[in-house]
Amino acid sequence: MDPNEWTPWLDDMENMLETAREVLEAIEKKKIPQKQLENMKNVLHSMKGLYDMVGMTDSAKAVAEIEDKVHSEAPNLSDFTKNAFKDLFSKTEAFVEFIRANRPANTDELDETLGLEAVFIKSSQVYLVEIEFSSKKSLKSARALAALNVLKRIAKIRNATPNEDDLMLDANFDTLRVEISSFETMDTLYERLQKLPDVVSVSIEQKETKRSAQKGKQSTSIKIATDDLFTLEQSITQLNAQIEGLKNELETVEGLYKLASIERSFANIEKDLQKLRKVSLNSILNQLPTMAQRLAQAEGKEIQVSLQGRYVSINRILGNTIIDPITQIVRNAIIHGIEYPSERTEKGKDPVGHIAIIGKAERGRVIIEISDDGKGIDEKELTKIAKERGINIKGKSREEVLELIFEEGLTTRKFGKKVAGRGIGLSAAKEKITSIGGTIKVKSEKDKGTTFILELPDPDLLTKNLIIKIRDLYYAIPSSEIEEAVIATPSDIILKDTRSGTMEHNSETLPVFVLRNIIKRSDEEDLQLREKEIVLVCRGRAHKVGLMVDNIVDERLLNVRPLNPILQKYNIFEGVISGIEQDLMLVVNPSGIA
Amino acid sequence: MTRVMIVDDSNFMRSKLKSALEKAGYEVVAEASNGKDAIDLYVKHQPDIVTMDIVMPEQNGLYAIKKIVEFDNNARIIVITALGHEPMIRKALSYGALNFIIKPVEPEEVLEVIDGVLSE
Repeated sequence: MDPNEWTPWLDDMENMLETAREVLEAIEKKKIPQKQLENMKNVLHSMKGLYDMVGMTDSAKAVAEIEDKVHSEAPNLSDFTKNAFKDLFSKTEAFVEFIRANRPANTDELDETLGLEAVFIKSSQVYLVEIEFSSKKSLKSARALAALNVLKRIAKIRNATPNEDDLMLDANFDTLRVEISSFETMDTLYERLQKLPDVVSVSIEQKETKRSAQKGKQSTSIKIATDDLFTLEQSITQLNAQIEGLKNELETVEGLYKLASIERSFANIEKDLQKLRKVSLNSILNQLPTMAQRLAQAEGKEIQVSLQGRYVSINRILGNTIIDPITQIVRNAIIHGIEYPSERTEKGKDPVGHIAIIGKAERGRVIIEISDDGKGIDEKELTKIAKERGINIKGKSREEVLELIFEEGLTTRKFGKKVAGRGIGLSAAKEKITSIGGTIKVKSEKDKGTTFILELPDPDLLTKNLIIKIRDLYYAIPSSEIEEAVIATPSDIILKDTRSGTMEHNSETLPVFVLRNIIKRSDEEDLQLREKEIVLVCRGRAHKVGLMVDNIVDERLLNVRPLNPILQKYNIFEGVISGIEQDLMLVVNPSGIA
Repeated sequence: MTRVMIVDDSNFMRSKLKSALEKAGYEVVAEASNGKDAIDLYVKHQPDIVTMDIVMPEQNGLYAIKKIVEFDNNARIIVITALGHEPMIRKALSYGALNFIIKPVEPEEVLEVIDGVLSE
């Protein structure tokens, strides 16, 4: 838009705002006189037109919603509507100022600049809509997307689980939960949703908006890639180190005092960031009871699931990792642990089986216990199977025998009916838990039930590591140390000796180290450069260094533990982790090599 | 009277849909057997609602949906397709199709979905 074109638009807006001011005065009084009510309608009408004219359709729509509201409520306007009008007025006033000052040529983002959406959300009602579909799994996501389309036309979608992005990728879910805000009555929406193909049930509940509780503290959520958070955290850690360095140079008391306050701010930022990285157990496991009930029903069993410690917070990535193992354990409990109601009655138990999931934070570790009051693991059967499979259990304690249920394929259907299937997935569950440095244990007593205990590491100790391979062994390198991985050809590298040399990279000359000859497991040194060498460009202590590795395997979030003191003198390693490929992996310290 | 356009490459499907719709009191104003014609005919007739097959020769339904919605932001399009095209259905919904129906098509379902889309 040409800057001059704004002039008539601004004039119209000014006139409109002039009238709006009169209306506002009237709103402050108890009853709005008829004349002002008419003014209000006119203001809204011309405002809608003005926004539409410059292509601000979203804003025009928001104004239209308020206009409709005024028309339907007049002459007794609700507080909602009055507030919405006030909000609209102040936002528009500020916006007009903005246009006057900037006269933007590009009108694409003006809707956002005005931010009328907030008026809409604030003054409408919030509802929680839950829709259950009976469609095949492959169709479910598409059905849910269509349902969202229906919702979109009558309401504003605040959030959806699974969200649209996940649905596009075919999400796995039982119930679509959507939080919407709308002026409309929900009757029509309810009817419309129920008529959709494959919809089994629809529930719409009005949600308390808790406006008074969080006055002026409206929180909006945005998505942030966890990587960005890590980067931010790293920068803060670096800043902290720099402050530490400054301390020595500062001499005045005042300076130190100021520094202390900066340090405090950083501590707060760090705390906030940590909060961002965490989710509550509740939000991870909220789908579980529904899934469990459905499965129990299909199995002809009756169960009750209780979840304790909902608000134990855990690292977001950790949270995603434990969903599957926990689900697997609960499935096993329902299929193999809990008896049929008749069987339970015979044993003198409550016909309804109980599954309890308890989360707690203890000494920097998160512990999750999943117990059922079913028939327990049949030890004799387990022993028998172990013998058949040639596993020596002589001298093994009771606990150790029970641990066998985590062995892959030990308890598949071939072996005995009683434990059939218990092993499916439990080995995978253990593998997942172990991969993040956690442990999984099992306790069981005949006819009393089974308890699985998951112990997860302090989330804040988890770091991202690249798993690499050097001469058939696996090692880890902290991802934070690595700037990039490059493929180098022999012409890029000049070796000084078998262990080190230099490499040209981005018109820089980097020292490179041949890890396979430094971490030496045999006397033969590999003198030949390969056709393609993988070089990890690492930060190093003072300058970048290149580390030549044989292969990059994976990147994982891991719990790095300190080395045994005997090994600590080797600067090249800085810790140890338990992994999947190998029980123990050493963590390479790039700065230690240089 | 509500004006409908039917897009499907199969003659049989078109006539089946047409008779079901006409019986229910809709006016079928255009029929297209490929995506390219669908776009042209939409522009020409601007129907109230479109039923769109996705897998078709000469520019498929996805492309047509995209183009039609670009031309008319308020276009009402319903996808009709066979099972096995779920990712395409999701894509179509993201391009602006409002709902979808899985073949084989039951006339009642078509009418229900169309009514639903029109009532919004």
